Amino acid sequence: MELRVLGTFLNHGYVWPEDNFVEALKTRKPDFIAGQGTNTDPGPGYLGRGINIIPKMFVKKVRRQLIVNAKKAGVPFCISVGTSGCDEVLYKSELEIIDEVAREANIKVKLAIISGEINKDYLRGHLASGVKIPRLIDHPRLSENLTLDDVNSATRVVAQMGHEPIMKALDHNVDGVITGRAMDTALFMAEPSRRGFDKALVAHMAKVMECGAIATTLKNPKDPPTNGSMDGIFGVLHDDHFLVSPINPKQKCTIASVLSHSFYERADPFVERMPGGALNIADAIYEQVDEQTVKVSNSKWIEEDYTIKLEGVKSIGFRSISLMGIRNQSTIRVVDKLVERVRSRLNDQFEPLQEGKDYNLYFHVYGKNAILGPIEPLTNTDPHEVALLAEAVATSQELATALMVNARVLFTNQQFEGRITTAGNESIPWSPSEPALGEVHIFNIMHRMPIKDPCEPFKMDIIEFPR
Amino acid sequence: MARLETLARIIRSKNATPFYLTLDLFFESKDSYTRVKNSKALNKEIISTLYKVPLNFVKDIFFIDSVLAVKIVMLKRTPSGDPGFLDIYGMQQNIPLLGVEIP
Repeated sequence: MELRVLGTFLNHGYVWPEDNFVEALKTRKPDFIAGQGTNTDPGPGYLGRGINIIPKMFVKKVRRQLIVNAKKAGVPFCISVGTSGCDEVLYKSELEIIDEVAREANIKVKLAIISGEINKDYLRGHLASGVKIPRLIDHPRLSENLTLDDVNSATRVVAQMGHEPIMKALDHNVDGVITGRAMDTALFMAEPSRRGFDKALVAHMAKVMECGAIATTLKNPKDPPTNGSMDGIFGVLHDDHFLVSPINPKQKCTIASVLSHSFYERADPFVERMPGGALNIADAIYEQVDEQTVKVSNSKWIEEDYTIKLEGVKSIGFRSISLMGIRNQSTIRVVDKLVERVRSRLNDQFEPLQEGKDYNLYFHVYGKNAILGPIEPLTNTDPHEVALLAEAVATSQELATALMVNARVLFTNQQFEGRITTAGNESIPWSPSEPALGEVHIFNIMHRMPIKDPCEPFKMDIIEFPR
Repeated sequence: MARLETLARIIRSKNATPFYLTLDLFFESKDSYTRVKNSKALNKEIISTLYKVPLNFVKDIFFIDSVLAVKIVMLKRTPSGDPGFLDIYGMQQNIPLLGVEIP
């Protein structure tokens, strides 16, 4: 048995070279295409607001590249979409985009759409029945076991689906499957699992391919710098091994490139936990079979109880900022003192509101230690220019902006010994000068929920486009 | 003594979920890798000190001989997206490691 898989560039919405993709579709004859478009990397804001990090006009461009080419070649695809993978993006902008793409290209496509959002009542039901939902990560910011309060305060909750709901969708003879939040590996595992390939190899190949060409490297290190890692990857699955190679002719897979990728963004380099078990690659064998291709075998799979990862965020207020540029050495030398004075005067001015309860203030000095904060090893540097970024997170947008306007005015006019800039202490980059950045969310759910039926929480629809 | 940045080819940091920070080091020469590994200079105590996290936040330090790599895994002081911390992806948090002195 052999199964040929084309992995597209990660995130499915950034620039990626269409030529290589079309060429791979034509010459390498994949049995299916997979690619990820959901992750928690960009932070809690996208799940909180229910928005895609990639603007619609650009999503449409890459969706057209994928759907039109795949349909023409008759190759089914499985992709996850929407950054956080919530329903707001999936059912509103995504379905609209696909509809437009199908209409404009004059093609008919039948797709399975699978939601990755978890209904809060469904979670409440689980909690009420006494199911323990432990935190995925032993971090004190997360409840040890999911609480009703976590669920009630959450703005939205999604879960990383495993490959089972996608397998079920593929049974409907569709042109493709589009999911909300999903395990990246699940997108690559669904079709090979349907065909009965060895689970450990299926999971391991999925893990190598899930980020596209990140598992590849430049063929000739002397070539000019490229974005060759922003491209696709090709896998061929056999009964007792798999082969992996790039689709970009300037890239190659090496044992090191494939292995290094298995460490990336992972808390354990050898064990990858998935919904129904764990992939163990500690004893896997890697061989370079030609200049571009690596062969992998001897992966292990350990069955475990079926659990899915829940991800949820809650709102903590609204953010406004002020950015102030400082070029005068006499001011830079005392900037930390000035900031502390601004903070205490703001607290006085805004009484009876209280810092820590009604609002929080953050001051960061770019040029000194904004990026590392207390762990910055360089403390005695003397930058010639710094940027002071002030942030307020408050119970209302208006309060946050009021705090920032006052912070800026207090900073501008502060007097101090040795001050030569008596007209004002900073440059103000924009007008209006205190941007309101909207609602602020933080992750409050990152828990592992046991379920019996892997498909149960994930709603699926079969939709023909254009609608 | 040599600073770690003179021995490793890549020293990178990145989130692994919003709650973990991972630091990956890759070495070009086996000698440099072995020197760092055998020195035991990369240990949980030094990571806890450099990153100002409690010792039990430093979860693992893996030495992976097959690819001359080291992986350090710790819980983040501030989870990604919590206010007050300006590196959402954790991609600039390698700096404290660069100056670790290796005998």
